[in-house]
Amino acid sequence: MNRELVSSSNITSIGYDDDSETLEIEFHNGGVYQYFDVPRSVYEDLMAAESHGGYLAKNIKGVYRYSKV
Amino acid sequence: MSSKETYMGSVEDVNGSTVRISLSKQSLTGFVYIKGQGYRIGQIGSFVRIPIGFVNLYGIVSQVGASAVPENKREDNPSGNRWMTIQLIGEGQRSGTFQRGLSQYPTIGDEVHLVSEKELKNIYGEPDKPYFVKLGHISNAESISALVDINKLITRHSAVVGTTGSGKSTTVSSIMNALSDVNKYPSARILILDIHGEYGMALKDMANIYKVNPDTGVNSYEKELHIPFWALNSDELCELSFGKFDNEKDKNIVLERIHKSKINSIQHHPKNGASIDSLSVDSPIPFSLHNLWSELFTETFGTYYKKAGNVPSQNLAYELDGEGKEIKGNPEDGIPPVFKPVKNDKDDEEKIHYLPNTPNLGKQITLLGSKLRIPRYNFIFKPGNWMPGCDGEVKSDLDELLKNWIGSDRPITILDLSGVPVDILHTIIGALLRILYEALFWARNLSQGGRNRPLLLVMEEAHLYLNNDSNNMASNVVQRIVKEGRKYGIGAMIVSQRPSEINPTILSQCGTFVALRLANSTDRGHITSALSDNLDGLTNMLPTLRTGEAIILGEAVKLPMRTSITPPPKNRRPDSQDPVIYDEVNQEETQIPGGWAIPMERNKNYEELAEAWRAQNPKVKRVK
Repeated sequence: MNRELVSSSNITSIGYDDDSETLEIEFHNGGVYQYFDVPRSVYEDLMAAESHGGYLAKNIKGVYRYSKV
Repeated sequence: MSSKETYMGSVEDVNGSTVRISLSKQSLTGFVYIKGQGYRIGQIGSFVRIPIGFVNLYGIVSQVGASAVPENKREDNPSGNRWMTIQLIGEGQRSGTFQRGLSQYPTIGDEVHLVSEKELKNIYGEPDKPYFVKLGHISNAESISALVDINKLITRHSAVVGTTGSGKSTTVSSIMNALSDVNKYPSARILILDIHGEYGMALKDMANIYKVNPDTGVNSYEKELHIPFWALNSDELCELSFGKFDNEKDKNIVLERIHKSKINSIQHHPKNGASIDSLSVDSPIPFSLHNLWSELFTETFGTYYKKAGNVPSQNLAYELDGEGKEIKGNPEDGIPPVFKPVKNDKDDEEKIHYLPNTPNLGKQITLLGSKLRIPRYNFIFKPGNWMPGCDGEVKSDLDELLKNWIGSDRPITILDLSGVPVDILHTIIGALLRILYEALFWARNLSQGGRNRPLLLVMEEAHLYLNNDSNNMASNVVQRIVKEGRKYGIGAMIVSQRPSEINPTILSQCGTFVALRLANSTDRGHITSALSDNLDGLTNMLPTLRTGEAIILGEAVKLPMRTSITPPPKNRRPDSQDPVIYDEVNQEETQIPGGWAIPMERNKNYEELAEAWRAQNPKVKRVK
């Protein structure tokens, strides 16, 4: 999956796979995580959000399940 | 050189390399300034200098205060706090070169001085030699690098010990990072036995990673680990395949058959170096274990049509399947043939009997059959390109296997053993190490052999497989490696959190110790007793070391060093960090996706949890 670099205090890059509705987040510490069953709209909102970290904490964490890659 | 400001006291008692000194009144303030830098007097683990004529003796403070008073002086020194015990460790010429060992001893009344940072630098030296690697800096002197001589570190073996969470894995990756510098050591050769799969991510740029059941995704950096069963010696093979034999005779029958198969194999597919005369049952020659199993199965459980003049083995009574075909099974998949039951009725002409002279191997053969069928054992019994055909032909031979393990383009090979069933871990590790040892031992004169391109074997979590059990194959092989490996270019690095569970022979052969925080007194006792130096004082510091701080002592360092290990860059740290319960930074900025601070997940999925367990693979299908 290709990830797009973003500027954020904790996130390095964000990627999204339409077929499997998987969101991929890379943190600055090198950890890469995949969130499952994330609608495309959420991904778009995340990319558009002013603070990616804030949006992640509010709307994605605790909502979608994830796995370390 | 001699100066009032560094003067601490005088020698009062000498007993071997243990020296007791009484502190002068002036130094009792405990804090002195030398060239603008403050030093505390009487810190455990700090160095002192005793000038004698043209040489300086150096020692380490191991005890301060009341208990350091010599026995017979106790009554004169009721306060008792002006005493210090030091352990002498070496001497230096006035010019500055330091060496271990003593040519003379101090005597009563000799002056004892504090060692300043400048002098310390002289002792440790800053050798600009490429065979020194830097692991960090001396704890109380940041300007002094902690340098380790890799010649001694590797050939004389080493041990990295420390409680969980003391920074062991980080220290190991730090050493690995330093040793795998391609510009400095283009032919470095390191093999890591990674029991928990911690190092793959951290070292993936410089290492080839072999794993049982690797992740086969596109971006995966893991390759499949195979340990062909025919490369094992007879003990290892029997242990893994047939299990225990009831008696020697049964075992010999099986070994004889294996030997025969191997002879058959080299008759059909000759190999350089192998001849029928010199071939033994332990020789690493491919042969078909599956066919052997099928033959033995038939001999043990087979039945035949009994008729006058019939040869039993040519008239086997196979059961018929739905289409009337004989069920002969499929040796390659571990599917046995099915035989008709014994029949001896009066009026029936067809008589079915068991084969004559059946070996008493039912239990062993059934066990092997089940192992041939279980996919978990495929890395041994169906080893990919190393799987022999019926008369022993293989796509890839031993050379390919060894090239993968110790001859690749990258300095490090990681054998990730996290997928190996625990019950056979000892045997597998024993077999692996023996294969490597024998290969490097016999190839000692060749350019890729052990003497000319030595191998460093890093054994993670060594207490799991190097214990005292005399039947433990891994432990036996490693004992051989630590005793003889030096001559053939195999160095061991034992990494463990529980040194007291490691076979003492193995530990005592380690020339260099990197001791991190170690709280348990039994463990500490083992380290202390394994050390060649008389350095009780230093090992007493072990429980109070900070995380990432280590005492390095032994042959690879001039002097015992209390070292702050420089951790590798964040993305190169092993995957063994403590899980975070509640991150210190707030949720918007945390780089931890989980923990107890986030709200509960809405669509929890325990199916995937079960899937990961059943597949024995932490990566579920969803993750690609």
